[in-house]
Amino acid sequence: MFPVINFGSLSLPAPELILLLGFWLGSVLTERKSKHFKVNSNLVEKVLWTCLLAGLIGARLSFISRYPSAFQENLLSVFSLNPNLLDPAGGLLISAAVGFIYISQKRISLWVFLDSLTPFFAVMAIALSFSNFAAGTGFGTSTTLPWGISLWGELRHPVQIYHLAGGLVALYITSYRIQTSEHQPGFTFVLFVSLTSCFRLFFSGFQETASLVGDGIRLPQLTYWTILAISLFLLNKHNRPLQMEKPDESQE
Amino acid sequence: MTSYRFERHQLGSIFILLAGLAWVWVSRIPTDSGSLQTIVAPQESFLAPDFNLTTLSGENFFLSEFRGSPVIINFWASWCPPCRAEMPAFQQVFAEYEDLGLIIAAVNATNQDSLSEAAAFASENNLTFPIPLDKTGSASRSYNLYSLPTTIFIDRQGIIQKIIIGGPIPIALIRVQADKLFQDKP
Repeated sequence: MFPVINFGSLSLPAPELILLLGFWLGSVLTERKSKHFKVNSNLVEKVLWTCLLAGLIGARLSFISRYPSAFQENLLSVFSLNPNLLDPAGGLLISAAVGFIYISQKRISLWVFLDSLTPFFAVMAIALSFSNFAAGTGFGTSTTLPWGISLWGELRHPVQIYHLAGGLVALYITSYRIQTSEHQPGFTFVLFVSLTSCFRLFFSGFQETASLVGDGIRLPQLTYWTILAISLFLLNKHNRPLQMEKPDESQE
Repeated sequence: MTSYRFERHQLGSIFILLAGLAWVWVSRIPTDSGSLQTIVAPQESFLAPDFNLTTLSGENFFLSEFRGSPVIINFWASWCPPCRAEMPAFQQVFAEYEDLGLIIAAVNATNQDSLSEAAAFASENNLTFPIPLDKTGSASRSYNLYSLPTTIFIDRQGIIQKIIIGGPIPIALIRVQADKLFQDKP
C-alpha cells in the first residue's frame, strides 16, 4: 500500500499516477497493434484522447449534477483539479457515448474498432488493479496462505494482485496469442471481456468489502457473472470462422 | 465437424456459467462473520483509531468521546502551504454545520511544526474548532500519515468513510463529504 509517492517536499498521489501511466502505455500498445486490425493508428490516438477529455469533463459535470448545492456558493470549485470531485461512472458513460458518436461519424465498424482498442482496455484493467493495490482499496479476506500480505493486523489475500495477474493473462492471450485474421470482427474484444469477467468473478470471491445481496452474496460477482454470460454468448457468435461468410459475399 | 465444434463451445460455456454460479454461492460472505467495523485501522470502512491530545486552548480532546457525531479530522502544519490554503474552507463549513452537530478537529502535527507559528496561524484565521496538538506524533502514526494535509471523514458510528490525502480541498468537496456523514441516521 503506497497511496503517496514523495519526491522531497512534493507528494504525488500514486493511484492516479498509475492510472495515467496505464493510459499512456495502453495507448502506445494500441497504436502499435492497430495495423493488425487494419485501423489507422492516428485515428485510434485521436479517439482515445477525445474520450479521455470527454470522460474528465463528463465526470466533473456528473458530479456537479449529483451535488449542485455544494457548488452554489463557490463556483470556482467547478474548476478544481481535485480528482475527488469526479464521478467515475458518469465520466465512463459520457466517454463511451462520445467515442461511439466519433467512430460512427468516421463510418468504422464498431466491432473492428473495439477489437483495435482491446490492448488499451487490457492495460487499463491491469493499471486499475495496481492502482487499487497502491490505494489499499478492494483488499482481500484473511488467509493463512504463504503469499498473504500483512494488512491491519492480519494476513489477507492480495486480491488486487490476483486481478493484476488475471489482467496480464488476458492481455497476453488477446494481444499476442490469437490470430485476429481468422475470426469475425469483435472476437478479440469479446474474448477479452469473457476472460476478464471470468477472472474477476473468481478472484472477487476473496474480496473483503463488497455490496451484498441476499444471503451474503457479493453483488460485484453477480455483475461479473452476467457480463460473462453475455460475452460467452457473443463469443460463440463471433467465433465463427471467416470463410463461412464467403458464400454470402459471392452472392453480393 | 463444424457443428460438433460449436456444440462443444456451447457446452463449455454452460459449464463455465454453472461453475461460476456455484463459486458465487460458495464464496458468499457468512452473515455471522465478524464485521470490519470492529477492527481499528486508518482505512476507509474501518473503525477510526482513537487518540487523546491536548488542544491549543489547553483542553483534552478524546476522539472516542464524539462517537454519535460526524467528525472531520484534518492533519496540518503551519509550514504546509496547502494546509494553510484549505483551512478557511474548513472554518466556513464548520460555521455552516456546527449547529447540526458536526465536529471538526484540526490536528496540528506539532512534532514537525512550531507551536507558536501554529497558534499565530489559528489566531489570524479565527479558527473556532478544536486544534489538538500532536506533540509526540502518536496520532499521526496511528493514522499512517503519508502526507500533509490529510483529511479523514468519520461517521456517527466512528467508521472512516473517506480519506483525502493532499490538498487544498475545495469547499464543495468538504460540503459533499459532510453531507454524506449526515445521511446515516444516528
